[in-house]
Amino acid sequence: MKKISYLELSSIFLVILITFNSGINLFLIKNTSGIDSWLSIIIGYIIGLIFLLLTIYISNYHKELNLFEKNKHLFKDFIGTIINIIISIIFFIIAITLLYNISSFINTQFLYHTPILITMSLLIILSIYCATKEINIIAHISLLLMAINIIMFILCNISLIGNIKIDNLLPFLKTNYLNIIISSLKIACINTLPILIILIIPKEKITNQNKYQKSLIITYIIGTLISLIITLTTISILGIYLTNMYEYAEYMVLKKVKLFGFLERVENIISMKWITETYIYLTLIIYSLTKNIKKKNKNTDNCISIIIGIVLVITTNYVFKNITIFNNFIKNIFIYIIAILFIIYILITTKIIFTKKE
Amino acid sequence: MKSKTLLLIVIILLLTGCYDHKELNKIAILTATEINKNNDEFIINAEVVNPQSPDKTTYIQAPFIIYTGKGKTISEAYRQIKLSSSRYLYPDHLSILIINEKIAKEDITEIFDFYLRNPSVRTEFNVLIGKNEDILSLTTPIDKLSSSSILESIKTNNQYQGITNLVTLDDMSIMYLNPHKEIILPSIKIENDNKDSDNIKNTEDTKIDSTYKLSNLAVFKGNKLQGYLTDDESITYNLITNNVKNSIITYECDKNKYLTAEIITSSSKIKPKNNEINIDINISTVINESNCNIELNNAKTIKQLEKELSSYLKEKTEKNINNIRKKYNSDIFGFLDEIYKHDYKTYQKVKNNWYNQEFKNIKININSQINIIGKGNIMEGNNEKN
Amino acid sequence: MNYIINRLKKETNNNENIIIRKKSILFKKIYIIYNETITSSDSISNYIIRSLNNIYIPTYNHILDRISNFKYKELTTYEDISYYLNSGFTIILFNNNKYIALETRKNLSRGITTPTTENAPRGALDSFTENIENNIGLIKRRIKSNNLWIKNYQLGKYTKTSVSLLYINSIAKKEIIDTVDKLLNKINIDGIIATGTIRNLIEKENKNNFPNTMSAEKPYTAVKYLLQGNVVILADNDPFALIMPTNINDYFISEEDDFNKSINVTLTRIIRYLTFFITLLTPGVYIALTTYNQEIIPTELLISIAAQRENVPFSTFVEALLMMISFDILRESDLKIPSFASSAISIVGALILGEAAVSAGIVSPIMIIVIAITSVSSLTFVEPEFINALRLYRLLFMIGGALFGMHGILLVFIYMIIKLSSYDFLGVPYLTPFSPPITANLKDSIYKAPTRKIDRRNPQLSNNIIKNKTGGPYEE
Repeated sequence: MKKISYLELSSIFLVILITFNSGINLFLIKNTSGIDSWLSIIIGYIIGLIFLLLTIYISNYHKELNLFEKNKHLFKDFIGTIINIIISIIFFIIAITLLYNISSFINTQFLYHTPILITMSLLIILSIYCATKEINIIAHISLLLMAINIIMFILCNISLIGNIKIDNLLPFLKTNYLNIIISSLKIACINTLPILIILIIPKEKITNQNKYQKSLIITYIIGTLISLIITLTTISILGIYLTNMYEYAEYMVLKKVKLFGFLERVENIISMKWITETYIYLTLIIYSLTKNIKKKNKNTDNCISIIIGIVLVITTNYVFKNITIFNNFIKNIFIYIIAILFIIYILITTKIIFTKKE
Repeated sequence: MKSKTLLLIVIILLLTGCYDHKELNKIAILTATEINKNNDEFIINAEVVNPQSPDKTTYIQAPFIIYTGKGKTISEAYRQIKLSSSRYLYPDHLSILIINEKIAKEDITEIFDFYLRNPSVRTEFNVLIGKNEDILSLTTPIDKLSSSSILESIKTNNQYQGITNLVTLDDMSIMYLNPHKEIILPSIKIENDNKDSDNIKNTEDTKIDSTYKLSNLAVFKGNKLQGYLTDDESITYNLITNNVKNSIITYECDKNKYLTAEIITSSSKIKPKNNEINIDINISTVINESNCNIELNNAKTIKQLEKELSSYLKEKTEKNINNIRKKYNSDIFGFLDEIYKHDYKTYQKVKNNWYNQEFKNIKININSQINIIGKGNIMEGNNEKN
Repeated sequence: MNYIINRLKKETNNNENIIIRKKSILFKKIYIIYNETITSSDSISNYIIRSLNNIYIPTYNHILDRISNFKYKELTTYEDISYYLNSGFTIILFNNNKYIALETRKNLSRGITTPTTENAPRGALDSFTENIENNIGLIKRRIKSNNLWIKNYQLGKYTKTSVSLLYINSIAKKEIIDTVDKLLNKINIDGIIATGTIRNLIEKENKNNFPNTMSAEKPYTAVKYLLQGNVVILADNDPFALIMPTNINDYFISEEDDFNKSINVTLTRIIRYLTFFITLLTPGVYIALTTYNQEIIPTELLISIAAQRENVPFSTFVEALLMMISFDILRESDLKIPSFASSAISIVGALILGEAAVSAGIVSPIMIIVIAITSVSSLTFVEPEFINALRLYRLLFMIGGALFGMHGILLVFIYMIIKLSSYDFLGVPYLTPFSPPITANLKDSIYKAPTRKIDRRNPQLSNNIIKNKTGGPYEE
């Protein structure tokens, strides 16, 4: 069995934590918490710490099993399967959301005339191709891509420092406290609940198991910082009014980037970060769904991945006819669907506690 | 097997690709646009680059072409241009947008939507108010394109004189969307417009008849143009909003004798406090020219001069601010914004009748500080023969 | 005895090169057989015939004892006889089914010369030759340890090439050696004339088109990798050693790096990695930028590129493809052509492909620059296979750029990363020092740590990790 180094694990974990920053996080909270959005990000991620700790706790139960096997082991076959199906459906919905989000972004920003179906299928084909490989290969890829992403992130934020106007973050704390809390709950839901899927990698597969906890926690802090920086720079550079007006405010900020003092208008290159993050997330989801459905026979494995990919593209196309439907879906339905994961967390932890007592 | 099916799908996708493909010699690079309005119809003058091959051909082509289109919306007008030109109009390199006075006087917001909504247009281009029509068709000698010529002259002017100001569409939309601020835009006009101005011949003489004249800042209130600032007021505006990089102060140090100090660095801060607004202006200057009998070697005289200059600046600034308040009643300095950000309590009090009452009457304290940090190459300031 | 001679004559169709000489010692007949094309008649007449003339007791043991040849083999079967006869031995046949093979090989290989494919401003100047024994000797000269173990094979049904597997027993991983051993034993082919054939037979050839075995002409390189735990395969008649398994970083390391200070080497490495990306991406990115993402190009430059492209009838992709193909044709012909004609090629290349194509309006001047930087960058790599591999991905990037602009480039990039990182050869993933990250090797990748601090081997290659115990700073 090929093992995964803890750095690669953290890179996958980081992807789960920050992918929703590409167009969804700020979209959800900017209208409710306004200038103090950055505060809701902090609070949201602090709330999310609970789920991180729960995840670490669950990971220690039967280290050799992955998430779905654990469920079956814990709840016996029938209930375990039901829980697994619920988890799969939720992650399928996350995949749909991500896929539509990124492909509509690509279509509105640089490939105006290309049909959205083609943009989607290209991403999904690559995802399937990667998902049919072993998890350690997904880990290799995610480490490489995330390393590039982080370098790019640091570079473009350094070049954005000159544009930051702290004044735009004032007045401080004049929005309704309740709104801030609601936004932070949304943030916690979207960004930290799906970290459950990291359990698809059994703890035993990590080369340095004693670093498992530490690396997850450090990555969590880095993820928080990245989300915070993205929100802060967006609001402080564009100002709250422009932020509220633009569909992809985080992307509009990148238009101001001037790399090394002369490379202007490179937002299309920098926003590749969004695509790679979403890509890794999608791959991970397709891989785990395949793992859930899979029988022992290896050949059918690839078929399952391909079928999942095709179903993904078709449903995305069918469900989201245009961006307004998508936006309404995210605002009104998506969060509640993800919140179901919270119940699953509690179910699994309580069950583990009880089985341990027995 | 798996890889072969994937390959097949990829090939099928590849065959259907190329939707957004546009070759460089199939596009017309749009660099500037001028918008005018006539009887509810937008009239658009678009400056399109006419790329000239680098090998030395003997006959001279105009470096750019102006296309004109009409339409009920801006995009319709652009479409019409696409019909009349042989190439696809590529708007990503748009660097200048000139809005005619007429539109500005009616309602400037009409032009916002198209440029902000369209993802293929970048929002970093500069917006100006055009005082005449057909500004773009003027040819200028040094910069081949009128758009780059205008852009460079605004930049230079902003840097060395501080009268105009660079306002991008983003800035303008921020100013418009912010309920506590008003729009201010630079303006431009053509001087001595003659017959040859839109001909390449305009560049052949050494003394050029028609040129651009960067005019003063245009003041808006709401979505309507109110008027233009004077040169002095423009400098004051730029000083207060920290837009001056390098400008000069000319001060009458003796009767009919003047002294010029060059501003090296300047910083100003608006600090609202208890129903009052304090403006701190800090300037470092170098004496550029001095025609008076002042001993610049003496530390005392320098200090005296600094004091005089400071109070002169203070007076001037106060006068200009009050003038602007009286004339336009438009909060271009963003005083309310500052109050909103730094003094929320006062904001609650004043926000309801800001323009009715508070803006005109709010007390403004100016605290200017000028430091002379250099005096040039000459030791003595006076002529010894007299 | 007669049976053997008859069979030999029959099998070789009475080949006149095989000399069968009858000699009698005290009424006992012995036969001396050799192939005159590969034996040195000097040594036969000097040592064998002269010794035999002094021998009077015609027994097997006595002759074996008295013969003055140093290297001999005692043979029993016909197959052995034919093999040794074909490899330059002289065979003495006795009546009692006992045979001796005496080494009388003619020296058919050239002497040790300077390397022709690996140029380095510093370092040893000897290179491998066609003679496998010399080659092993060159390596052995550098590793004077009993731990340099050698396994020998005879591969090829007809060629019977001797192939040697070299490794340092205390460093190399047992699993790797066992796998290579198994793979080599599995080879069953008509002939092996080049090490490349061995390589293609033991790996999945087209799974990854980047090379994962390095061919080294210099004993220096072979020894360097042996000390890291890699395995070296030498084949007779091929002056190139095969080093396996390698990862991508090994192709960025050059011999001269060992002679320079690490900070200077780091700068050179950055240039090398930069050239890797330049040569991969430049044409693709150029196509993407000029046909999709024109906003990235500064306005002035865009106008000048547009002006240059004004009269070119082809699309940018076709233009780039034309130039790429013509460069590859140039390179191909330059490799094949004898050196006295190469100046003609360079004139044709420079004039026709450069000047004339531009003034004829077939390509734009900027395209010449793009292709020039691409091709010059690709030549910084020593391994020809690596350059060829880059060419495939460059083409893919061009297609990606032509179809979806920068987005397409990104997709191809992801594809390339998947492809490279999913491949592992003998347990070493191809993108090794970067992903999975291995600190020991990262110290000698883009950044080169001071030699004192590179103290560990790659754990994927060796279980014996520590290689440098110098430690600590230098103190008087």
